[in-house]
Amino acid sequence: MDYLLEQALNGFSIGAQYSLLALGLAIVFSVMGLVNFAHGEFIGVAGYAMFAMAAMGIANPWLLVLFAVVTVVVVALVLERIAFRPVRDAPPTTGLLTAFGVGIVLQNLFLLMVSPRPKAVPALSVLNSTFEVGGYNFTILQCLEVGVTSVAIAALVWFLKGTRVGLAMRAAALDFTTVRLMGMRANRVIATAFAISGLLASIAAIFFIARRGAIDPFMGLLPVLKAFVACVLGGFGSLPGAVVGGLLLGFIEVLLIVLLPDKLAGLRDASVFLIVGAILVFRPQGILGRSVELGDKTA
Amino acid sequence: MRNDSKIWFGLCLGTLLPAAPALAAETIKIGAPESISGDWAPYTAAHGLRCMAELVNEAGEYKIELEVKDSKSEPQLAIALAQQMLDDKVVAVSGTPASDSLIPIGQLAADYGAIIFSAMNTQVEMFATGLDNFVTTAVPDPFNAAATAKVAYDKGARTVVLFVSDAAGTWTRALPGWFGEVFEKLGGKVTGTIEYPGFGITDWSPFVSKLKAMDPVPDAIHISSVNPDVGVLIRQLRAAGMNTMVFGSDGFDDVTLASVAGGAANVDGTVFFAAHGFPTPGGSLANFQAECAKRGYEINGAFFGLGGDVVKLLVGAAKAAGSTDPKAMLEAIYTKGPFEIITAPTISFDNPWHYPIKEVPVMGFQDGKPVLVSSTRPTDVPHFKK
Repeated sequence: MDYLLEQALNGFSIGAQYSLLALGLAIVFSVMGLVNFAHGEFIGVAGYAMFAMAAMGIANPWLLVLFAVVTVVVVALVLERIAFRPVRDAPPTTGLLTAFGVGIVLQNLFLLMVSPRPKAVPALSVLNSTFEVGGYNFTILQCLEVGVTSVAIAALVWFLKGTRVGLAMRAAALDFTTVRLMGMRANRVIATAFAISGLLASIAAIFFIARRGAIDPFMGLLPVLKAFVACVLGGFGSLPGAVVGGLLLGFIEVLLIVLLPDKLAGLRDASVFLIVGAILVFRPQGILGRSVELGDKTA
Repeated sequence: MRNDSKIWFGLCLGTLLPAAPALAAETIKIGAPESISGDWAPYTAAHGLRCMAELVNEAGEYKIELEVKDSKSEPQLAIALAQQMLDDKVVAVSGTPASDSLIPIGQLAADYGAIIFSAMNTQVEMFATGLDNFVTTAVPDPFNAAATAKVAYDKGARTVVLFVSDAAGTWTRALPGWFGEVFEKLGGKVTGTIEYPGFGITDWSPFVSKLKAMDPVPDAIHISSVNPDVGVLIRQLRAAGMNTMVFGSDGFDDVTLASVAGGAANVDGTVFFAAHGFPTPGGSLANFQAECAKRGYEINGAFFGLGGDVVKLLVGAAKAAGSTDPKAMLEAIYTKGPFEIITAPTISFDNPWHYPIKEVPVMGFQDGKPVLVSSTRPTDVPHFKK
C-alpha cells in the first residue's frame, strides 16, 4: 500500500511538471497558433540564471528563485518581440521553424558561454528532504509540486476569467480579428501570453532543478516533447486539456514502471504511446479538445 | 617556465627524440570528430588530444596534424565528418565513443587503409565485429566490471540490484550483468534488475520507490550511465533515506559528479566506480594534466589523459614501425607493445582480440574528492574467456 501511494504521488508530481509546461505551450498556441518548441529552453534559461547568480556569491534560495522567474519572463518577452512577432503573420510552419531555431540558438548560447558539461546548482536541494505524515514519508518537493501547480492553475483561471486581458486572451483563442476590432492591442495580448508561458515554465524549471541539482545545455529538450504529447493528449489549445493531459501522461509513465515486468520494460515507451494513441483514436481532438469539422471557423 | 614544466618537457623530449637527429619531422595526420557538445561531451578526449599534439610538436621529432571537429555526440554527423577527414588522408580517425558511429567509421577507414581509434570506447562489440583496424586506449567493459565487483565485495556488499538499459548497447546493459557475474562468483548475490529508459532522466523517483520496496533492500546497486543522470540518481536515493552503496562504470568519472550528487555526505564511502586513470601526485597523468592546465586546457578527469594516450600511442607506434604508414603503425600497435602512455605505466594489445591491457583503477570518494581505492589488472574476466 505504501508503495502504491508513493508511486501515485510520484505520478502526480511528474504529471504536475508536465502540466505546467503543457499549459505554457497551450496558452501561446491558443492565442497565436504557434507551437513554441523553444519553450523547453526556458528551463535552461532559469537554470543558467540561477547558476550565474550562485557563481556571483548569492546563496539565498529565495533570491535565486526570484531571479530565475524574472529572467525567464523577460527572456520570453524579448523572444516574442525579436523572434516571433516578425513571423506572426507568416504560415504556421514558419513559426514552427522559428521556434526550433530559437531553441537551438539558446542551447548553443548555454554551450558556448558556460560549458557543454553539466553544472551543479545545489541551492534548492533542501527541497528534497522528507517529512512524515501518518506514518508515510513525503518530500517537500513533491508536495510543493502538487501545491504550487494547483495554485498556479487556479491563478491562471482567475486571470483568464477575471481580468480584461484574460478575457481578451480567451476571445483571441476563438477569433483574434474580432478581439482587435473590440479595441484590444494584439501585441499586448500576445506578449501577455508569452509572459504567462515564461512564468509557468520558470515554475516547472525550479522543480526540475531542485530535483536534478544540475543543469546542462540540452535539459529542456525532453520535457518540452513530453509537454507537447500532453497537449495533444488533452486537446491542443485547450488549457484544461493541457493540465489533464500532463497529469495523465505522468500517471501512465509511472503506472507502466509499476506494472510492466522488467523483462518487458523495453516496451515501456512504446506502451505509453500505444495508450496515448488509443485515447486519440476515440477522442481525435484530445480528451478536452472541441470536436470541429473541416471548414468550421474555429478549426 | 617553472621547474615541474621543465621536468615534464624533459620527459617528453626523452621519450620522443630519436638517438640521432632527424632531418625533418614526419607528419602524423589525425582526424577527430569528437563529442565536444551533446550527451558524451563530459567525456570528450578532444582537449587531451590537442594538448598532447602540442607537446609532441614542440618536441619536434614528429609533427602531429590534428583536426578536431564537434560531432555534437551524433553518430551520423560523426560519420560524415570522419568521411571528410579520411578524404583529407588522415592516418587515424575517431568518432563518437559508442559503437553506433565507430563501427561504420571503422569500415570506412578500412577502405582508406586508416586506423579507427577511440580514446574511451569500452564496448566488447568493437572486438566482435571483425574490424581489424580498431584501437582504443580504454580497457573493455568486462575488465571495468570485474574490478568494480571485487571492490563491491571487499566493501561488504552481499546483495546488489542492477540498473540496466538499452541506451548505449552493452555499456548500459551487459556491463552491469558482467559486474553481477563476477560479484556472484565472489560470493555475493544479484537480487534483481531495474530497467530504466535511457539517458536524460530528470526524475528517478519511481525507480527509487521500486528499489525501496524490494525485499530484501539491496546493499548496493550497479549502474553504467552518464552524469548528471547518475548524480541525480544518487541525490534522490539519499533524499529517500537510502544509504545504499552505488557502484558504477567510467561514466561516473566526471569532476561534477559529487556536487551533482549533493555533496560529500552523499558520496563519501558509498559511491565507487571504475575509471581509466588516476592522477597520482607526481605521476604521468597528474603531470600531463598540470602541464595542460597551465596551457589553458579544460581538464575533464581521466578522459583528458586518454586523449593524450592516443597521440602518445600513435607516436610510439610510428617509432616502433619506423614508418607513419597506418598499416605498419597498426601492426606495431598489435604486436610490438608494451607502449608507454599517460593513464597507466604501459599498454599492450598483444592478445587475440587486440583489446588494450592495462591497470584498472577503481575510485571512491573522500571529502567529496575522488580517491584511489584499488588499481589492478583483473584476471578472472567475463566474456573474453568465451
